[in-house]
This record gives sequence, C-alpha cells and structure tokens, in this order.
Amino acid sequence: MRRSSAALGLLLVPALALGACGNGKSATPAKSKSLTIVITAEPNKTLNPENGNSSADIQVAEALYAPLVETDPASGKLRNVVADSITPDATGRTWTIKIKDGFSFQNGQALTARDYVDTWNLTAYGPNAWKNNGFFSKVDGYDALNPTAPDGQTAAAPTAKEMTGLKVVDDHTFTVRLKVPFSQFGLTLQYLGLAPLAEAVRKDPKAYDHKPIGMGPYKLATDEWKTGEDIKLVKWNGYKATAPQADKVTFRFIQNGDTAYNEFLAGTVDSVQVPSTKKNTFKTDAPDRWLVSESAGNIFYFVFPSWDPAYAKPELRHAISMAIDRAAFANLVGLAKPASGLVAPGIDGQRPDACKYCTHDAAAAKKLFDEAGGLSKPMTINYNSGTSTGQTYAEAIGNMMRQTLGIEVRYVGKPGSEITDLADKKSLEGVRFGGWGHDYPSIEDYLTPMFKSNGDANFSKYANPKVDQLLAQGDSQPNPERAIQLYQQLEDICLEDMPLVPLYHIQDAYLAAKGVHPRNSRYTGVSPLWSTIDR
Amino acid sequence: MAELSLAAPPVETPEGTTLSHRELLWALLRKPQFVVCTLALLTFFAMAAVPRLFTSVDPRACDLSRSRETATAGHPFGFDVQGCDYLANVIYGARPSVLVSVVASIGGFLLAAVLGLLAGYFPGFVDGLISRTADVVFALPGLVALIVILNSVRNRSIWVIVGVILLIGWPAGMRLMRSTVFSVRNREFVLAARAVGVPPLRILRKHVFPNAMAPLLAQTTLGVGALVGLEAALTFLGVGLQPPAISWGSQFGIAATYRDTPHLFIWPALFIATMTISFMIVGDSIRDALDPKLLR
Amino acid sequence: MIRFALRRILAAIPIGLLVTLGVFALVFAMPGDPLRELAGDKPVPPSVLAAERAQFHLDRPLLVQYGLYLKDIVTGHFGETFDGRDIGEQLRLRIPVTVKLALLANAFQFTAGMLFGSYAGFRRNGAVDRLLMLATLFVLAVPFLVLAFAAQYLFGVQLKWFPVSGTADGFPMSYLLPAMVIGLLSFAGLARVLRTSIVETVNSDFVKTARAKGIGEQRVLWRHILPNALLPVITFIGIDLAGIFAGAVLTESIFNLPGLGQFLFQAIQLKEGGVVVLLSTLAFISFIVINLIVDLLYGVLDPRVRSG
Repeated sequence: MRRSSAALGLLLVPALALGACGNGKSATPAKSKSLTIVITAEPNKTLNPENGNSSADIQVAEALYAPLVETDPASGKLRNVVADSITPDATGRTWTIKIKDGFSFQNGQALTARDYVDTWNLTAYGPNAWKNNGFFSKVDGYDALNPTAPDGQTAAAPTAKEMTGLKVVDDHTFTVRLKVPFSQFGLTLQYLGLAPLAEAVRKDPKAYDHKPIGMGPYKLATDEWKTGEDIKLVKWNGYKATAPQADKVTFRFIQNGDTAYNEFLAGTVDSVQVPSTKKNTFKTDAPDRWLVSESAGNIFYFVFPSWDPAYAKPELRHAISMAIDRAAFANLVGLAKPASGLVAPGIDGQRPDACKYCTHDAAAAKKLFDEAGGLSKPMTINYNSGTSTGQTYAEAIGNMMRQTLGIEVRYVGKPGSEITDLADKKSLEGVRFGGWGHDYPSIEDYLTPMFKSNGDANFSKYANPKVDQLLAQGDSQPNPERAIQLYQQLEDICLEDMPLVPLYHIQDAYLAAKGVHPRNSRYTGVSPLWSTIDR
Repeated sequence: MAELSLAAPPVETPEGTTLSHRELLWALLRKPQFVVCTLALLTFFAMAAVPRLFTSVDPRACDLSRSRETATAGHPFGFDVQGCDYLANVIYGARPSVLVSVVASIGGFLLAAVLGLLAGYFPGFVDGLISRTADVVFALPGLVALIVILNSVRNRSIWVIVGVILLIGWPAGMRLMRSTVFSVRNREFVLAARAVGVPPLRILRKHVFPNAMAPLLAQTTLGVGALVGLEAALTFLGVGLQPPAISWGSQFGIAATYRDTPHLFIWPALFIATMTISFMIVGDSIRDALDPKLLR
Repeated sequence: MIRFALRRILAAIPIGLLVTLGVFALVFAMPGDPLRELAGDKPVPPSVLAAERAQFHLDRPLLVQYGLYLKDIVTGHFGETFDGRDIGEQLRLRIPVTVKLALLANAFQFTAGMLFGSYAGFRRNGAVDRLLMLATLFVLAVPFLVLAFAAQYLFGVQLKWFPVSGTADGFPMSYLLPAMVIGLLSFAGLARVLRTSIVETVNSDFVKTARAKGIGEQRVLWRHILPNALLPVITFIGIDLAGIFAGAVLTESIFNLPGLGQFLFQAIQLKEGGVVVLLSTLAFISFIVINLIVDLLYGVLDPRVRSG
C-alpha cells in the first residue's frame, strides 16, 4: 500500500490492482508460456494478503487473488472484476458492494459477501496487528476495535470484534458505512491488500501463511511455499475473470538490484526492474529488451517545518523553491521528470503548469529571498542515513541554497524513523525530504495525504481549515468533473502556501526477455505479471 | 651454545641504542624506495595540511548540471556527482583521510603493542585480564558497535570515528603482538637479560618489543588503506563523515553508488593506494633498519 | 590440557553474558523506532503498534527484555522477527549457507596466503614478493563492490562458468565465485603477515645456530622455521575464522546468498535486540571455541609457550 517512498528511498512500483488486457494472441502452445519474475526485495513473510503491504506482497497477491475493481490500463477508468457494482448513496457515505456470481476460492468454497465482511473485520481488529489494518480507519466502528491510549499507557482491550459499518445484506451484497462521506472510496477498493480469506483460513490464519487459499488467476504449484525458495505458481482453471497469459509464474527474490540485473543479463530470469545504479547503462546493456514506464505515479519533495517561525513567510519558501534547478536535480536522480505541481503526470486533473514557483531563476530567487528578510540561521537539511542516495540529494539541494541564496547549510543524517518521530513531535530542526506514491490514480490521493491536517504524508504538519473544507467538499461531490475542479482549486492554495517544495517524479525501467512484453500503462505503470508473451 | 652471550649485544652497549640516529638515517636514505615513498607521504601530509598549495579551485563551487562530467580543460579529474571540480575535492579530501588513517594506525599500533607486550610477557593475572577484556570487545560484533555508537553521537567528527576504530580494533592487534611475544619471551637474550637482573619494563622495551613488533607493524601498515576503506564503508552504511566534510572515504562511498562513472572512484582509489603502499614500504624499511637481527 | 580447556569454557560463560547484554544495551540505545521504520512513512494505527510492542516485549524494561530473550535462546523458542519471519527457520536456512561460504572462502584465502607468503618470505624482493606487493596494491585500489560485481559479470553473465547468484546450484558450485572473491581480497593480509614472520624467523639466532650446527636445510625449515613463523599466522587465521558467524554482509548481498550476515545487518537496522543477541551468542561461542583451539595450537607448535 503506501510505501514509504521517502523514508526508505525506494523506487515506487505502483502497487495497485492492475487490469486485464492479456487476451488476444494465444495461438502458441501453452507449454512455453512460463514467466520468471524477479522481485527486488526480501522474500515475503506471509502470503496472507491482508497482512502484507510491501510492493513484494502486493505483486504476489496480484497473482493469487483478485480485486473487487481495477483501473483499466488503457483508459484509466475504473472497471469491475469481482464486483458486480459499487454504488454510493447520495452523500457518498454508505457504499453498497455487489459481487458477481460464480467466483470461488481455490478450495472450492464459493465466494460470498460474508467472506469480505469477516475478513475485513479480522484485519481491522487491532490485536491481530495485520499490516492493512489502517485501511479501515475510515469505516464506522473501527475505533472500537482499535482503542487508542495516550503516550506511555497501554491501550485498553478492544470492545468489539466487528465494525458496525460493515453489513451483509445477502450472499452477494454487503454495505460499508464510512465515518464521513468520501467520494473516492470506490477507487480505493482496487487495493489487493483487501482480498478476502477463505473460511478455513479465517479460523486459523497462521496455519495458512505459507499455503494460501487464493481466489485469483494463479495458485501455488506445490502444497506449501517454503521460506527461502521461489514462489512457484500455476494457472488456476477455476478463475472466472480475465487472467494473464503465462501458464506458470515463478517469483524469485533477489534483494540486491544489481545482482538481479546480472541474473537477467545471464538469461536466467524473464523480467527485472532496473536498479538505480544502472540507469545510465541499461539501454546499451540489454538493447531491445528494456522498457521505461509511461507513468510516474509519485512525487518527491522537501518539506518545511511549519512549527519553525524562521520559515514562516511564504515568499521565503517561494524563493527557496525558485533557487532549485529541477532539471539538473532530476538528472542526478536519473529517469526522473522535474515536478511542476503537486500531482503526478497521468493523473486526471493534473496540470503541467500548476506551480508558479517551480521554475529555476537564480536572480529572481535571490531578490525575493532578500526581500523576504532572508533566513535568520543556517538551513538544516535532514536526510535519511539509511539510503545510499540521501546524503547526495541533500548535498545537491544544499549546494544550490548555498550558492544561489548565499546562506549557510548544515546537513544531518538520521534513520528515517527518527526523522518521522521528531517531525511528529514538531521538534525537527530544518527541512527534510519526503515522497508519496498514489494508492489509486486520483488527484485526491495526492492532496489528502500531503495536505490534510493529520494526513498520512503531511510531514510539515500543515493545517489549513480552508484546505480541509475544500477536501471535504471534493470528497462529497458525486460529479467527478466538479470534484476535480475543487481539488485543483485546493492544489493552487497549497502551491501558494508551499509547505513543501515539489522536486521530481520518478519513472521505473524494466528489462524483459525477448518475446516477453510487460504491460506498460500510463495509468497503472509497468506490470511484468501481465506480460504479453510471444516466444 | 656459543652465541648465547652474543645474542643480546646490540642493546647491551653502554649507550643503550642499536644504531646512532645518523647511522640509521643514512641506512634509510641509501634505499631509493624509502626516499620515494617518504616524499610521497610528505606530499600527502602537505596536501592534508595546506590543500590550497595544490589547487586554486574552490572544491565547493558546484554546478549540478555538470554532474559526473568527465575531464575537460581546467578540470583534469572531471566533475563529481554534485558537479564540483573533482581534482579540488580529491585534494581537499586528503585531510580527514590522512588524519583518520594515520592517527588510528599509530594509536592502534601503540595500544595493541603495549597491551600485547603486557599480556604476552606477564602470563597469569595480567594476561587473563587483558585477554578476557579483549574477548569481550572482540566478540562484540564490530558492525553493531560502529553503527550504534556513530548513530548515537550528535556530531560525527573524525575524532569520534578514530575513537571508535581504536575501541573496537585493539584486540586483533593485541592478540597478534601477544603471540609473537610468546615466541620471543623465552629466547636466549631475554633469558640472559632477566638473569642479570634487568628490570622487566626495560626488558620489554629494549629486548622484547624490537624483536616482536614486526608482524604487528606489517599488519598496521597494511591496515592504513583498510582504514580509509572503512571510512568509505561507514559512508555506505550511512554513518560516515557528513557533508560539508570532504574525504576520500566518502568519495569512495558515493562512487560505489554511481558505479557507471568510473572516474569517481579511480582518483580517490589511486590516492589511497599510493598512500597505503608508501606507508607499507616506509614501515618495512624502518623495521629492517631497526631490527637488531638483520644487522649482522 | 582438558582442564585448561574446561577452565576456559567456564570462564567464557560470564563473559558471554556480559557481551550479549552489552550488545543488547547498545541496540536498545539506538535511535529510531523499529516498528515504525518497518512501516516507512505510513502511519501505523496505535492499536496495531501496541499489539506488536506487547508481542515483542518492547513495552518492558531493558533487563526484563534481555532476560526474556535469553530465556528464548536457552529454551530454543526463538519466536518471530519483527517483520514476522520464524527465527528458528531462518537459522536453519542461513547457518549452512554462511558456514559453507566462510569455509570455502577461508580455504582459498589460506591456500593463496600461505603459498604467496612463504614464497615471498624466503625469496625476499624476488618475483613472488613483488607480485604480492602488486596484489596488495590491487586489492587496496579496487573497492570490494566493484571487484565482486566485475567477477559476477565476467564469470557469471559473460562466460557462464559459475551461476550469477543464489544457492540453486548447491555446494560448492554456488559458493565458488563469492568465496574466490573474498579469498582474493583477503589473502594479501595473511601473506604479508606470514612473509614478515618468516623473514623474522629465518634471521633469528636459533635458526642461525641450527644452521651453524650443520642441521640439514629441510630439517631447519620444518622443525625450526615454520613452527615459529606460524604462530602469528595462526592467530591471524583464528581472528578470521572467529568472524564466521558475523557473516559477510556485502558478499551475501551481492551473490544473493541468504546467510547470517544479512540477517544480522537487518536485525541491527531494525533494532531487533532478540535477533542480535541470538546471533551475538552464536558468534561468541564460535569465537571462544576457535580461540581455545588457537591457544592449544600454540602449545603444540611452540613448546616454549607451555613452559611459560
């Protein structure tokens, strides 16, 4: 789900439920259609989709499970998979979800509304500590399953095991009542971390961590997946929706990106993501066997501390933003596009010229900076010491500040969680880096987390009642075009206030074997699982 | 054995020295490799002390749009990741690297030598105390100690890094020294000195140390380069020197991330290797000149 | 000798406790919150955090936590890592990988180190001696990362003599290339120590005496020179071997070998006190055993040590 782009410095692979388009040419014998896909990460700990939110977890879940809805990679519009219909009420607070007939789990159990409701309750139950618990915090009744306590005190035991907002209507229908209206809720349902667990699994989830009962296009080829081995999957004939082309899929875990890259060049695997160290050479290393993602579903930026009066003047923040040469910075990052707004390109409602202060102009920046009274102390740049690039990026920004604005710069490297901790307590000195990748392709999924008071990625602790109000209006606006206009209005306010300085969007590059063509969509990114195979 | 009484003579001369300083110097200066390497080391020391002698370019004048460009006129080493002149950066990078490696080497040598001498020469309580303490420090995973200590200090200066290196590094050298002291302790000339009532500390200083220090010295001179490498690894692990400090180690660490730009590591690597080799040869030469056994 | 060994082993127990407690305290003192680090920037619901803290005893004081982890180690119930992996299973998977890699790498290192070192020592300033100097220069000049990836690319990708990475080809095939890379990078140190030690011994009085007495050259070499010259070498080897359970972090990562080094490194990064204590205990035990063997070997090689 929300990968910690900034703190971990990882590349964002859109970890979304991805759509189908893999039919068409299927004349070649089924035998040759196997795929070995490298996941550049630690092996999964469990194959329970509700207890995994890393990009590796989601990639595997995408093969074993099916989402309710998905984004059509061709049009970017939402379409149904397991769901028959998803309809909000007039306010967008209560959502009715109908699922199609005929879907079942791989152990033969028919898929019903009950499976969703029970699975979601299990996930939302705090003491289970499942990774996707936070997803349900919008649902009515979540708090009773997740009592909070002031710092330093142990929380009381939950008073309920089921959320009052979830109701089974009949075998194929259930309703979700949210705490407040949310027009984008339907979009969020494409997340694969919401996949249902079979009844047998729900009774003893631990026992099935390594032998999942899926309901998607693939099932385990063996009885059990053993830690330390590849995850081997074969096509499951009982799957009722469109499936990818491959008959057999093997996921191999290689943590080191350069190693994975070499494995690909040696011809032992079919697809691999290009590591950051190879961004300048991959096109010559594997001619005709590479592709660059059409999307860049993320944004990276640096954040001002809203709690520090030294950075209080908006003009000062504009000047700092204008002192940055984004083209050069994007070049340093590699495979990146300079940012000119707060929303990633390709998202509905994104405007290429949204940001007035994102153009490099050293002279104007210096002038504006001096007019705003300058900075009363050295600028401290915090970076995550756990990544190899954190220090380099910090120094690049620092050099521009030092040379363009004539200020002193200090650098502080810390573990990512410590930076987050200090920022949460509003005691972090200076600016820090941050990043966000969308969970579902909506302008809203950039603005809410980054700017809503208490938003998930609101690292500057920015709080503006006007922003919250506009967000609420957009969230309860049933007409999509009208909603986008509201969100764009909001983006303008945030850019004028500039609690953070947008820097760049990052693209992914992949290598794929001859005859394997991973799906590449400007809406859903690159998906090796959904490769077209013609070998 | 006829030679028994002759075994210790160089240190038994009335002056108490094996060679006069002038003789020593002369012996050394006759070796061309010693002269060349000493000059190289002096150059590095000068670079560390007054970098401005070697370049007039400001190492912190950077233009990101020239990031990683190769050599052009006026910029013989090309540009680094930040688009700064790499020659100036490599020259300014000498100071922390020379300081860390030299101070940590000398300090580590002295610490390991003294403790190793004591542990090897006084079996029983002293040996037990030192060896068991060494066990404790040694068994502590060095990686844990490094990351934890360096993460905990507010301001990672080179002195903190030197301190941590000394703290976790001495047991290895100590054990090496102790083992050679074992084999020297019962040699004829030591027994002879003990027999005629020379005080233990004097025996250690004059008889045992000169005869037992060679492996440790070899290990130490070899370790100079490794120390610069360690500084690089620290950068890689995120606990190295922080900018604006410039050092070969951090240049190395950054070059490891940008492996498709070879000039980023070629230049610091060349400087580090030259410095290390010089240390090794100078160390070897001095030891040869000092060693009483090689004189005859 | 058995009494000596027993005494050392008994003495090791309090030291072991001290070391592991020290390690644990160090990890405990590290800044940052592991559970949040795992979640990245994504906020974790407080209820989930509380449940996880209780599961890993993170809500208890330092000494209680240490005691609980110790109990886990003694009873063999290792439990799970913070990110949900079974620790016992991880050990079963990783220890063989690490031991295989370390033994093979050390075999390369010792063979090359002994050959080069002794040759260079006896023929000082000869061709081999200069070659050793060159090799040292090379090792110092080329960063490990570069050498390892270059070897992987050349022998794995281009020539296909060895697998690129992973353990799928079993022992020794999967381990040869990484072991050779480690051996290449570390034999120079051993060779130099041996060389110096031999030079020292060859020129020492008892060797001269032996020669003067007319003892045959072979006998001088085997009975007088080598046993004495080997003392520092054994120490060096002991130091090297003792590091086995600390693993080879970089090598394991580059060659995708799931060994203990990676496990330890991740545990440190995530402040997993329990795992770090467990691995430190392993490292400590191997360290004590190897040290003991080294000390016993001293006695075998050099009778004078025993007399002291």
